Amino acid sequence: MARIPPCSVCGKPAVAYVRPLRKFLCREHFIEYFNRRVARILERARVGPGDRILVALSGGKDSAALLNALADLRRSFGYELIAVHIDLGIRGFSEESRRAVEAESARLGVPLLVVDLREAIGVSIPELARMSRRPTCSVCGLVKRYVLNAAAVESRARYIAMGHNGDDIIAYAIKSFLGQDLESLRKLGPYSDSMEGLAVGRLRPLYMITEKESLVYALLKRAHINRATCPHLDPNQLEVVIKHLMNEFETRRPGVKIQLLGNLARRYRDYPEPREAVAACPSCGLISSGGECSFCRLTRKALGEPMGRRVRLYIRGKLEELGLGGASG
Amino acid sequence: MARVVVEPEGRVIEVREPLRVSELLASLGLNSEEAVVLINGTPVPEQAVIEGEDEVRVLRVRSSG
Ligand SMILES: [Zn+2]
Ligand SMILES: [Zn+2]
Repeated sequence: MARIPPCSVCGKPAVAYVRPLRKFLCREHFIEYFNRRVARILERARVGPGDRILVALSGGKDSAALLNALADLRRSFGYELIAVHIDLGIRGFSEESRRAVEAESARLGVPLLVVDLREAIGVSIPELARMSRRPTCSVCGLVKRYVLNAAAVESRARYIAMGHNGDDIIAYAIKSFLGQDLESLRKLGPYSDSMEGLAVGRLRPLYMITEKESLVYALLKRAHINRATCPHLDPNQLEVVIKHLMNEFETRRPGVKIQLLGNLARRYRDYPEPREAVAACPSCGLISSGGECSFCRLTRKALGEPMGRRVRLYIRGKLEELGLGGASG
Repeated sequence: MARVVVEPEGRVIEVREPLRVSELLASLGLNSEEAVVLINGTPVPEQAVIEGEDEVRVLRVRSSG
């Protein structure tokens, strides 16, 4: 039988060594550590009783870990959770993601809103990418951002909780820094505020959690996850390369990642505010930077009509089916 | 010898034990931040030592997108 170091707290076999604490932790104490890190972000964002949090579930480990942590903390914070999943229609990948998400939200007793793109706008992500002649990942990102915001506005959520882990944040931050896109750095805090009726603020509860910790947590919780990689993910994508380089850096200078995240969480507001205007899209009413929003423009170009309003109506119908309706506007 | 399954390929290798998990990862060319090792179904820290009869699985951390 393997020799496993004992938990520094209780002496049971450890599941991980947590560097910031300089401690070995067993299953129970690792889960406690993870939930505490998540709770600290919720406290900073002043999440409280009566708040509705929309949790974006992809089917992967991070969002599954996020949903489990938020479900664990539900009682102490008194918020309400709604899970949302976008079925992207990527053959050989989306089916398993949807199954995982349905199983996990049912297991945790969280209502699930599924936005099936083919139902909502008639096409899948790969089809939309082809019709708009744009790279699949950029179309996918744009559609996800739009649909999540629409779902949050329609359900009157206080926040959209995203499964971005610390390694994701670092990769975005370094990418933005390389391009000297300092306004994007400002968007990389642990949470952002809502704009009434236009956009719902983001919450990144896994901000101070590494990608590895997120997987360990999902495994310990026996979460249903799709372990497959999206077939459209390019292994040479800048974010992927940065993550790997940062892990090499971490090996040589242990603690460098968490230090960067702590500093960014303190200082992101020092970066310049985005200069783009904030307006309501004339087609769908949600946030745009003047004129039609990027989703309405994309769908107008690819499908012949702006689909924002249709997506909002689709979501409204689904929320009513779930007994979660009642949004205005 | 202990049996190690390396995901996602499902490749099976045999390793001479006792063997530290960190040494196993190094021999596979994996950064310890990018892999989780399960011994008999449970995640273990990289300081754990694999012994005979252990069922070992190496999972890659990278996200699914
Ligand atoms: Zn313990
Ligand atoms: Zn619009």
